[in-house]
Amino acid sequence: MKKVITANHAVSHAVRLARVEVIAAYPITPQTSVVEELSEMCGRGDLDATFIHSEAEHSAMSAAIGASMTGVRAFTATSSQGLAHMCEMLHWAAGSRLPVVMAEVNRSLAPPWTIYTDQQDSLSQRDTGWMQFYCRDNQEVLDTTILCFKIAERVGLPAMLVLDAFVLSHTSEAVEIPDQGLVDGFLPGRKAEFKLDPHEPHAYGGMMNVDCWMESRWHLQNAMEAAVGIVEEEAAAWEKLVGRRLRPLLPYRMEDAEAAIVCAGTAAWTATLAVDILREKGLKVGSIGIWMFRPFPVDQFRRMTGGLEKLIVVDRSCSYGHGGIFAQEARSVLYDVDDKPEIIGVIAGLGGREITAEGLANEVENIIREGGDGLIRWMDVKVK
Amino acid sequence: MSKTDFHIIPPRSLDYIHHGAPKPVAQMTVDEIPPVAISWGRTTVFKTGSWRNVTPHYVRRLPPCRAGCPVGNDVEGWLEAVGNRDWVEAVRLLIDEQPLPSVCGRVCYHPCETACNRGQFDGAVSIRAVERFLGDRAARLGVLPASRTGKGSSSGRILVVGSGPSGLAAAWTLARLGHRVEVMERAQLPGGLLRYGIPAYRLPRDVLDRELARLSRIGVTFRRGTALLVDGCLADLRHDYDAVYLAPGAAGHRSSGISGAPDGMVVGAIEFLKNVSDGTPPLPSPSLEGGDVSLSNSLINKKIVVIGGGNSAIDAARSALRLGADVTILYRRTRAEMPAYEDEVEAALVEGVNVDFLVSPVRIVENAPPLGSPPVERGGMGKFNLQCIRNRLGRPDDSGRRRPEPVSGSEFTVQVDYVVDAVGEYPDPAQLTPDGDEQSALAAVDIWGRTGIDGIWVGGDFSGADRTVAHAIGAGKRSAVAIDMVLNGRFDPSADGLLLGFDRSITVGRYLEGDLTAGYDNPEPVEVSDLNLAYHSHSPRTRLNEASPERRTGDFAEIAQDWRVRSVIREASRCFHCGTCDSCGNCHIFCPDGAVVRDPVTMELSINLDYCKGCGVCASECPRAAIEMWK
Repeated sequence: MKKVITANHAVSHAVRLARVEVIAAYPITPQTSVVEELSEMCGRGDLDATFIHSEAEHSAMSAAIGASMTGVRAFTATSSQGLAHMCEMLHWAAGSRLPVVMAEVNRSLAPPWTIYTDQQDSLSQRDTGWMQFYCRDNQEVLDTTILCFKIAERVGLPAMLVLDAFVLSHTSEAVEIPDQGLVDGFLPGRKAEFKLDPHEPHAYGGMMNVDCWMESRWHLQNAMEAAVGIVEEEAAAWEKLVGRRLRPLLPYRMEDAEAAIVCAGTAAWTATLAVDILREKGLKVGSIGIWMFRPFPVDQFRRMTGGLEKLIVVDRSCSYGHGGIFAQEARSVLYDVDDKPEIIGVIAGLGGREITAEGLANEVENIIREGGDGLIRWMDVKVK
Repeated sequence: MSKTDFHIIPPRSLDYIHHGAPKPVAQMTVDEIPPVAISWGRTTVFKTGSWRNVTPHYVRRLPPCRAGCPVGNDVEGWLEAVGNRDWVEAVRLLIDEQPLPSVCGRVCYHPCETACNRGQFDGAVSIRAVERFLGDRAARLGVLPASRTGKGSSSGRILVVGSGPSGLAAAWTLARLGHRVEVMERAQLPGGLLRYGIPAYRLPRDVLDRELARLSRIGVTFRRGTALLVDGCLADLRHDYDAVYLAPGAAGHRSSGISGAPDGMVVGAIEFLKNVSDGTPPLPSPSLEGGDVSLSNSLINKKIVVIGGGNSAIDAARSALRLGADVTILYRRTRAEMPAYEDEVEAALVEGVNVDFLVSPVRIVENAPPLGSPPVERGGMGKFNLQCIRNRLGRPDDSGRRRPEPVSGSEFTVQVDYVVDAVGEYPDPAQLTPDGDEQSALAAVDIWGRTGIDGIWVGGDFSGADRTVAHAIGAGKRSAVAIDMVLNGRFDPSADGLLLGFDRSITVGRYLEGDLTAGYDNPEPVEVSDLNLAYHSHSPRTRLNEASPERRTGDFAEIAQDWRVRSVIREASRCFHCGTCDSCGNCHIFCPDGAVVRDPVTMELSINLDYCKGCGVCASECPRAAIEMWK
């Protein structure tokens, strides 16, 4: 069934279809309508889940972790400061190898206060052991949410699906909502390999000594590496069911490209429009949307960028004192590749500043015609 | 790694988890070390119960409603049954302790609701309204309370004097305990104050008759129109009876001492209310007014002044209003000191009774023609001038209320046709016995109602400090149980195991079952601070609908309207169940050791002491203070 809904409600519908059993959340703009709709679904009986309205995000994540420990499917959603407040428990979820799924609506971190989008909040939590998926439109949000449960439960790691504040969260689009039967077939109930069980009681989360703690982290990295293949497998299986293609990297007009724009989220759709503009002008430019950021699809990225002259990486974040976070990733992944492109990092769209197709095309054209200038460029910023 | 054989926990380490590690961790390969911190083997080996120094116990604590009820009504019990839609059990629990539920459900001053912990949350449970509904249902269905079945108890012959609430309660209790009970009533119909004092708009007479029918059905006999006439001494009654319970009420009339009033112009409130109740002209000689005899009960165009601030004053004023009079209450203090029930005062004001505070009557002045003279021309009403004086409040007196002090020079007059004197009533032992020694012996009464005369017991308004229907019933029950214990040779005046609450009410139900305790592990009433209010959601109190003041002042029909079943269940479901486990399972959910066990069949909860480390989370998360930590 096709419905015109916001991306936030697309998350809610996906969570309903996934038959999530526990939802623990605390409201924060621009996430609130995700769990608001879920609470309505629970209230109406459309979803048979325990809905816990926590007193804050740290508790929301803790409750989701506790629920997940008992073997049920658990979900939460947050944004910005809320995600930062959860930080300690993000590590706990990953270290406990629990497949908690979270919708994270990208909103800039204060101060100064703002509620608009950039990717600083989710990228600040890059190293927590969570998988991260960045969505470009409402349909991808729904599909990604369902895939996150499947992938997280196979890999034994929590997964975060990330969507832009307002540009997606509060914007309505036509979204194909799959039948419950189809989702049930793709995503059966969770079968936990271990869980809190009064009939088989074990202690969890206790001390691990120096003779084995490090091995637990070896396992975690191992799971992340295995996840790349599992994600491709599940995305392909989902594509077979619904006909919509998702892959760790989403290329556009890359076949004969000499330069490429790399970015994630709604900016990745904007980049395809910029590519069309540049192609009109005779510039052989393509774009690469990053759907899966953690684990990073190293091999796929190297293959896709091999032979390019220029790689323009657009970051809606900044690792202050160094530069854009995706740009750093690209440089590190391509460092020991022989025919690597020149990598130009562009900081753009912080705090919700709009990235337009024309503006991005103009920036890229300047870079191609005049050459990049080092580690970091600021697009559309009012400098003297 | 292959895509399909990925396991979150490698099979080899999973094996170790379930069966114990066969070798030191230092010798394990990475695939043998689990990726999460998980214990080798089960945690059941840790008997955390050995850490405990306090132990949780499921307890029954006295709920405040029952603690506040002078009858000893098991309010929480029947509210729970109503919430469960178990009407049979609800009615059984009600009439096990309450002889007059339809009466109390209407006229009680509901101290249960005052004590209700929900009052400090979002409004007390409308307990009285639920009792009214249940009492009426019990009466309609003709349900009778349980009686003593066991053999081996002696049966006595007992006289109860007075058929007001206290006499009826004693008779009801004694009959259930297997005694032959005669109730002597000097009026033509039983009920005492319930029939001749409380106006019908508060207590319809058919409701009272249904309650009385239940007493007859359990074997109580009534001797109507028979006054107790004692020539010699009360002790002589013992020739014919094993025990006598005297509950004649407070029949002595106190006067406000208005001077200069012609005969018949000042009437006592009790007499006035009695006349209104049995249909005789409420005030003397109305026919001399030259009016129609069929209108002789009417007080239309009469100006009535009621003196006093108690419930009799309010009842008299509202009754006079219904008979068409223009009514003013004069009270010597302020509203704050009025002994009448707050909601009765409010109802009187809403209906149009005037109340003038800080006023005392002094005398009738000038123009005091004999009764029956044609009215003086002064706007139709008020033949006489009643001189009054204004007061101010001084220091508190013995009752703790501030004493009214007349303000000199503040005299004024009000026009009046009749004065209803409702200053108060007092117990008059001279009405019971001419013997002076016995009169003083009747005044020395213990909590059981024992007097200085062997076998003669008293109760109700005659001996009680709190003159309420509920206290009268409570006293009757308590004396009746004591009489039964005496007759069975096991009375111990100091044994108070069956007594409960602020008014030391007694539980007849427990006594009937042969138990000499009230059945609570902790007799301290549960306070609101003992509850965990986080688990109670707000839901507003519902009240009975009432006829509008305009409609109800035209007659004596009951003001309160019947409730629908849905409202009764909704209101009963608001009960916090203070001090009573209702198996909600919070303790089970919150116990960090999984030591609270729920029986999957009975749903009953218990503590596995092997693992309870005495942390007390169960007690603090209990919404209703039904778990206590004991050393």
